[in-house]
Amino acid sequence: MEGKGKGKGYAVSHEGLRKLFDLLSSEYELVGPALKEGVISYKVLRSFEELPFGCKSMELAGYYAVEKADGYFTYVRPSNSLKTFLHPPELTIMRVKRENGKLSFEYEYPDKKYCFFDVRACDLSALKVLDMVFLHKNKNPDPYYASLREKVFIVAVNCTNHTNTCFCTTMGTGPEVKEGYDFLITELDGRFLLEEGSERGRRLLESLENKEEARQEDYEEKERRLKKVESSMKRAFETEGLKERLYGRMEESFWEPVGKRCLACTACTQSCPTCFCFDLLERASLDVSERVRVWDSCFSPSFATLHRFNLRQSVHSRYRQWLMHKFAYWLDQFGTFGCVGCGRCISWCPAGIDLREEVKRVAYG
Amino acid sequence: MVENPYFLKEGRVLKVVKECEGVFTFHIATEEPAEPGQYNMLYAFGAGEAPITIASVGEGYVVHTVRAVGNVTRSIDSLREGDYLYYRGPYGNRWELERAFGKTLLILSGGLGLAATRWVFERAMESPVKRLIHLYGSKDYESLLYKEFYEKWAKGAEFHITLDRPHPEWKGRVGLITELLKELELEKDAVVFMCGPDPMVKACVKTLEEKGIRAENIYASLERHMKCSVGACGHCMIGPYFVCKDGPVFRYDLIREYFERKEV
Amino acid sequence: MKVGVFKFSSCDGCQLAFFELEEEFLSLAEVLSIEYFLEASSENRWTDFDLAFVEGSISTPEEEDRIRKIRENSKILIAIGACAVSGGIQSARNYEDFQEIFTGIYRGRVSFEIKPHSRPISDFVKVDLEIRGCPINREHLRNTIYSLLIGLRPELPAYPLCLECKRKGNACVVVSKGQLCLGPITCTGCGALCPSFGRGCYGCFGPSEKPNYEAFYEMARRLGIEEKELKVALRLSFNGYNPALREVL
Repeated sequence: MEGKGKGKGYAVSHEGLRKLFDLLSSEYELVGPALKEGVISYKVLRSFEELPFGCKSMELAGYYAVEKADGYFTYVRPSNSLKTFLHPPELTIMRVKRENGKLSFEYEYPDKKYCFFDVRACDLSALKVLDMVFLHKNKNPDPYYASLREKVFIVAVNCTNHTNTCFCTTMGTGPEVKEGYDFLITELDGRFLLEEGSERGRRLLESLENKEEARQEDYEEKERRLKKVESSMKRAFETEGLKERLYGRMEESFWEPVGKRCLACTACTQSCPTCFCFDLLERASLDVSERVRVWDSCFSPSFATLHRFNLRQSVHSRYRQWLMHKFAYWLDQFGTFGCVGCGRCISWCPAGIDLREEVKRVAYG
Repeated sequence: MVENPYFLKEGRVLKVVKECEGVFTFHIATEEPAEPGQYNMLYAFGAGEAPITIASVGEGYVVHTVRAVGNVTRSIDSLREGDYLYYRGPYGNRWELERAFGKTLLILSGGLGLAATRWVFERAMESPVKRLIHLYGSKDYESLLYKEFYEKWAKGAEFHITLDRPHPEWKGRVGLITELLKELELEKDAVVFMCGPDPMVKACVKTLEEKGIRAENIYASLERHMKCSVGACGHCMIGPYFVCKDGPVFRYDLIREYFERKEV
Repeated sequence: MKVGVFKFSSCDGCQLAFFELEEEFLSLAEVLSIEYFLEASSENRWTDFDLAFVEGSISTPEEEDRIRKIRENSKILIAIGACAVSGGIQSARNYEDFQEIFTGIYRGRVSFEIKPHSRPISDFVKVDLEIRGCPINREHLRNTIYSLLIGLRPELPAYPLCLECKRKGNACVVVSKGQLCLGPITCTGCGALCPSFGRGCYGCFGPSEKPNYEAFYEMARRLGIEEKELKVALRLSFNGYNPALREVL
């Protein structure tokens, strides 16, 4: 597992990054961003060239387009999130066999060994949140998640850009990567600052040839670049006391306006890096049944079903459940917000609903 | 590696009792320790799981009463003596019976909710509870559960039944449980345990508060759709609580805000 | 279990799902007793059926008589495909002047009697279960058959396609391409086939459970499509005459 803190730093060229990528891909299944059909998404990468260097996404509520930019790590967090790999959208958790009226059970844990190459501050926070849900704050830790999570090698990247839907500064998660990585990359002018964050990261960086020790100016440039992004981002709303305000705003009238606009399509929950809800399905044939865990959503019309009746019939009640969970219930359940400010739910809402505006309207309107 | 919370255990069906049409009680062999209020997830091949309260226990077995409403429960209700049932658990919290020691304990059960209160009621009869009252409301005569115990229960407590609908065989009380409750002389510091359909719980709380009982002394066992039972799938959430692990028993003042509000 | 597979006004495509089960179909054929299935066998027998799969819509008076007869002879009747469930693409005529189409397009040269409306099976007889889609998904058919064999009530999802589309890892085409996609109001089931190939859903599986149409019209408006145009397009779709969609069109 990746460690904390700022370790030794090096500066490398574009070639140095390629070397690191190759070193990591010999040991890990490498997951990183790539441009596919006009969208930057996390996928399993086959080569360093797949990284979408020099691309930048222009994102608004319900709008997404990729344009060209000067530099390398010019883009922001990808369209999908890392939960895709640690909490897969569809996972067979057990095979049940039936023989002579008795059942037997087989299960195995996923054995993939992932390296997440290019994880931004918001998504690192999201991993921490998921860790709490499935492992650290759960009396029954999830072995499927655990088996994938414990092997992950994390290459973090500091954001030197942002898009309109990003609000990490509001949620206090970014843009600067602070902990939870094996090593960290910051793009500088013509070179890259690498900082070790764990023992594994230290050993890897140490084995890299053609590197220089980072100079004071490199760190200063990093600070400057981070400051620049941070200062260009507006604070979307006040988070201090937000939970209490929301608890006081549960009346339907606060939620009906957004209920009218919401498609209840589930896109926000599915693109969210921390939404963890799932369903357990049975895929049966005569004597074998697979128990399958699939992503579910509180926006689904069958989510809160009790005796075939969904307790949350209205769309606004489902929106309330989601937003209240993210910004109020989550704090009581896990001690943090369930939102990391990545803004995916805003960009990928086909109805163009801006979560930030809804928080402002409901809590502070 | 951590233990797999989805692993299912095997239990032989030792006894089956038909309670009424579509409702069966099973004695399942188990050595798992449990507490009144907790539940097991029962599995049916090809259908999945359903959370079923532990109605009671005996030497080496656990008692479950299952009403056939969906695929899982219908499959389970077709089990007979000697068959095997697969389950995981127990899960959830328990009734805080000790809060009623030296006081009056009132138990209110509606319909199949009696399965969730039966065990704690049995325990209460052997506990230092000052006065024990149990009101049980059933929609009709045919749906009455656990008939073989009524005589014993009537000896150990103030046990009263009321039916929503009259029946030629029924010589007892007819009317809603709230009406019975209204007539009850009750100490103001009484502790109340209840389980029944949501509307019954809400109506009873209202009546109890009119009688001066405080919400902090009222506990309700809630029914929600639990799928994972370990606080991870999100289906059973009510406000900030996961009914599966924070409940199913809740002190009423803590859930009132969410439980009484529509569609939370 | 005695099974019959029947066809009404349709393209025969949904019945192919049985054959798509490949070897599994052969092993199922040993457990089930397939008595009537014109597309699969030359030996067909009219009997009492435990299970009747019905493909196609009711478009002629003869079909109406036949579906009633099948219903009388069947314990469980399952409508398969958009034609049987909603009326099919041929129900586009239901919103038009039938005589005009009949004389204008077919010039009256049809040798059998046709009803002015193409209607789903449920407009005539009780349907116990619907397997949606144009065509149906063989996994739904498989799930249904096994559930019944195990003694369970088959359950198919009714949530919107978007949920399945996201599970597939697709980027939303509405957002990234500005394309109209019926996903938010369409029942899941196809595996998000169209969005997986970068185009919007066109509603093969019919309306999802209680969609928010107002929000959907607003979404379409943002893409430059007016509610009126959208409604016309929906009427002309495979599921345009689905009982739930009919009400809002």
